[in-house]
Amino acid sequence: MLASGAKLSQAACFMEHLLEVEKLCKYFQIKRTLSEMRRNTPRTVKAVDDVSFKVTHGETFGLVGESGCGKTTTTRVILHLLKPTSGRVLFEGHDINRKLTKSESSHIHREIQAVFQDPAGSLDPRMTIGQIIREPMDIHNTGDTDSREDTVRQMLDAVGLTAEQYNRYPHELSGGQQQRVAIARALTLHPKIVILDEPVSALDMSVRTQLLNLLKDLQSKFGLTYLFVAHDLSVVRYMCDHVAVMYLGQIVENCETSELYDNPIHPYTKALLDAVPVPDPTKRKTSVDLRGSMPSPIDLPSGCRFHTRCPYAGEICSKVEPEPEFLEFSPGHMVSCHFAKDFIHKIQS
Amino acid sequence: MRFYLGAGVVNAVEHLSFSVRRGASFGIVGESGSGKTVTAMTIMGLLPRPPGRIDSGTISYDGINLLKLKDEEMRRIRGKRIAMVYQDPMTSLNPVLRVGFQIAETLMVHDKIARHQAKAKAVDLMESMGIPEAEKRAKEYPHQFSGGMRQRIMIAMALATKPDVLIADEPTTALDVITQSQILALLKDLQSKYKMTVILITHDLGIVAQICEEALVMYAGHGMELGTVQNIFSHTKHPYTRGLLESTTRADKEVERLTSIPGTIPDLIHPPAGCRFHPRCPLADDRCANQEPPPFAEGSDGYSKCWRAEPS
Repeated sequence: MLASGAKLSQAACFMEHLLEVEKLCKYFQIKRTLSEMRRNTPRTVKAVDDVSFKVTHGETFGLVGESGCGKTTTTRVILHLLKPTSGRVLFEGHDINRKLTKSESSHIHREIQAVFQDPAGSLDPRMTIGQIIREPMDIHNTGDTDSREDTVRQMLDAVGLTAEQYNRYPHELSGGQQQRVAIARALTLHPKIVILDEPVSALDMSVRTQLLNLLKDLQSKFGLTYLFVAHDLSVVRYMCDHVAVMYLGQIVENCETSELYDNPIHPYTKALLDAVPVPDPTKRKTSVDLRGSMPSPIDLPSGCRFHTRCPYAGEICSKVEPEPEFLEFSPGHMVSCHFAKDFIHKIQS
Repeated sequence: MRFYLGAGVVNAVEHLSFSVRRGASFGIVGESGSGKTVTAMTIMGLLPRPPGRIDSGTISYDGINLLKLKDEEMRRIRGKRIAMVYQDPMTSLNPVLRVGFQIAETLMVHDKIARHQAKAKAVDLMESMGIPEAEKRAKEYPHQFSGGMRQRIMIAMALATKPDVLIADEPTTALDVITQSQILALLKDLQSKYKMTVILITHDLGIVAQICEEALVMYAGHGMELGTVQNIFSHTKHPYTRGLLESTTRADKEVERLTSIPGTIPDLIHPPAGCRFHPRCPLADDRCANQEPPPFAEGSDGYSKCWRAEPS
């Protein structure tokens, strides 16, 4: 069982990218009414539509967007919780969405772990903290009983919980502590990548920073790679090395974090950045120049999906869909917008 | 304000004083459990008593002590002159009534106008809240609206009777960032249009900095710092406020490492003695652990409830 796992990770040493998502699509069929079936109206939600990105070893890759943009669906496909409609997910250079042997599948589940948004909902209320952290090792049958217990205690310590909390139940802990337990559970199998889906958005301000700092420390301690999903652009700036901005199932801009905040090009990225309230009364902003709200993913706008709300939309925008990598502004800075060139001139002048 | 529960007495809000000038926008910031919502609900007279009990203090509005009013009298003020917008628009709207009627109902109760007049007015209100096709949408039910639109309806309901004071309790917490900025801009516009006083309750320091003129920082049921937004953000007095500001993630600045406040929010059944922030405070000394600090005045308006902020 370990042999094929070892082979997989040997191959990985030569790969620069730990995780690659290639032209990933995930559509959901929804129920149609009888009249819709007669008229043969399609009822498909294109939750993720042609999404590609690469995550390098040791970095934190951010996936940002408003609710309904497909960021969580993307992570669920990566986690094997959903099957993609088309496209591939490569982990260490291997396609993980084809049919896997038992040992391959076990290897992948061990290497890709996740922490979810709602800490109370992701911990079994009938298990003690110790059992929760131990469970992944029991399932994957790693080490003997003593070494499992050791790991649990090490993990409790690593995430800032006390040994005394080993026999507590989740409801006895605060939200921040529960999220620490979820993090400890994700790390017991020493994964290569951890998918963090809004890990701090349910927490209070003062606890949030404690958790973010803990995640940063654990990353350097265990050499982890993070895929960080969030809607809060201030948290993303603090945590991520690379950011991809999603809108209605597509990536509209993808680049290094500093580049995104210094030179945002896509009008949607700009609107998102402008909408973040800055805790500084001397920097008051005027309201965002965006019309309406996000269109329904069942009835997508033609052409560029953002054109219905875009203040700069021209004729072409409603007709032609811009390629995901329409323009490379600087090495690695991809923008999917017909007028990207004009915005660049504005930045430069 | 105290709650007498089976488990003990929760000192939800204690020794809190602040005043809001007419026409101002006043922010109340704090983490969960800091007492911000309890404060708002006490002003509105909406807390169930028992288990809640107000042991001391006054709330005066236009010279009237709201706590002394009879239920009947309070009912005439609540919704009519002091209105409130709640955090979760889905649970605050009635799911089985059309939204147009829900707005009209407020008008029928408080302004005693006929149903058809009230309904026409409700449509006008929805239009001024920026809801497109208001005439048609007034006949729809809450679940047919998006979160941002529902919050606009809540604001329309609150503003139907042209109140003097609007209390907005986390009006944008459940919303996406772009919708949030649209709603905040709408609130700001309406405030100047209707010449209202707005009390904005939030956990987001960014919103306070962007919207309010004055603010109160609350922690564990105590007011920690009060002052103009400029003073609170640029000349921070209280170590808790400073801790919060230093630990806030920012989109406008690159920070290598944020300092976080250690520890967690105290249990309010057994709050710490002395200053409620002392177990987490980097400056705390013996006096902080034993004696509750009085709110020290700083200049003409504003205070910092901290022994270490005492002007020497």
